[in-house]
Amino acid sequence: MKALTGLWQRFDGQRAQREVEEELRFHLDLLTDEHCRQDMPWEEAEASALKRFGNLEQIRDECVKIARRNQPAIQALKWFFGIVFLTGVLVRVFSFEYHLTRVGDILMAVGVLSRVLLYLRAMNPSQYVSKPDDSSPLKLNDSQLSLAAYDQSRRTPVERVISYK
Amino acid sequence: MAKVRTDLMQGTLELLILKTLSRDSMHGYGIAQRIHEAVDDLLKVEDGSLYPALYRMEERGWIASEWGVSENNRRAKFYRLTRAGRKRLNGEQANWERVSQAITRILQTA
Repeated sequence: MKALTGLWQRFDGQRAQREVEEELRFHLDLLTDEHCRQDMPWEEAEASALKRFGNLEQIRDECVKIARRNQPAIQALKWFFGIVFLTGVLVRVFSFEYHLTRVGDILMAVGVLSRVLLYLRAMNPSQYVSKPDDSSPLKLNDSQLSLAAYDQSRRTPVERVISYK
Repeated sequence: MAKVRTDLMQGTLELLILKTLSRDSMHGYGIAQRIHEAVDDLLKVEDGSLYPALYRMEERGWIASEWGVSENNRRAKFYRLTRAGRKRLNGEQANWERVSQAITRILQTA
């Protein structure tokens, strides 16, 4: 069972990563094309696109991390607990024995509570994300120009822009 | 031309994205282009910074995404505003205007 779960997570994580990379690649290609249209040599255009894009690896890692949190397994759990709730309702409606109605109540309660917990998790994911250590590639230093800076403890964005005066 | 780094208030980038998506669904590059056009040279936003914000907003249910075909016939992920996102946009916009008015008033009088 553990091996199956691991396999599923691995497969799912790889899919999330592939999709993130495809999306970022699409953006970079269009940016490169845009620079090429301004009569820039291709190599220079690509370097320019990367500069405008920001810290590619850091952004990719951050996106993959969020995408994994939002993976289909979580969606599947939501469906599962929805079905648990509906089963509880059906048991409650169609059974006349005291014990069965109690079972129905429990199923309904489990369904509702689990959905509420999943909802709270989505609203405030910070409690469920491990904090990166000092060696994490996501940790910014002052020399890195990137908007994708986050206060990892509160999961709030530290939005940074470069303004020209 | 002096290059100055500025920290924006939290949630500003999200507000810009929500506003951009309020017209129609777009892929990340389209959103970046629209923001660049709108802010002109006043702010240079690194394009890549949009993506963690987009993923986070999708996680919160403010926007939804689906893969489609772009104008240049490539597979691209398109984002659209959800009902919760529109509600959030209205709230954030009102909040921004209130804070901005308050700061302007202080700057003019203090």
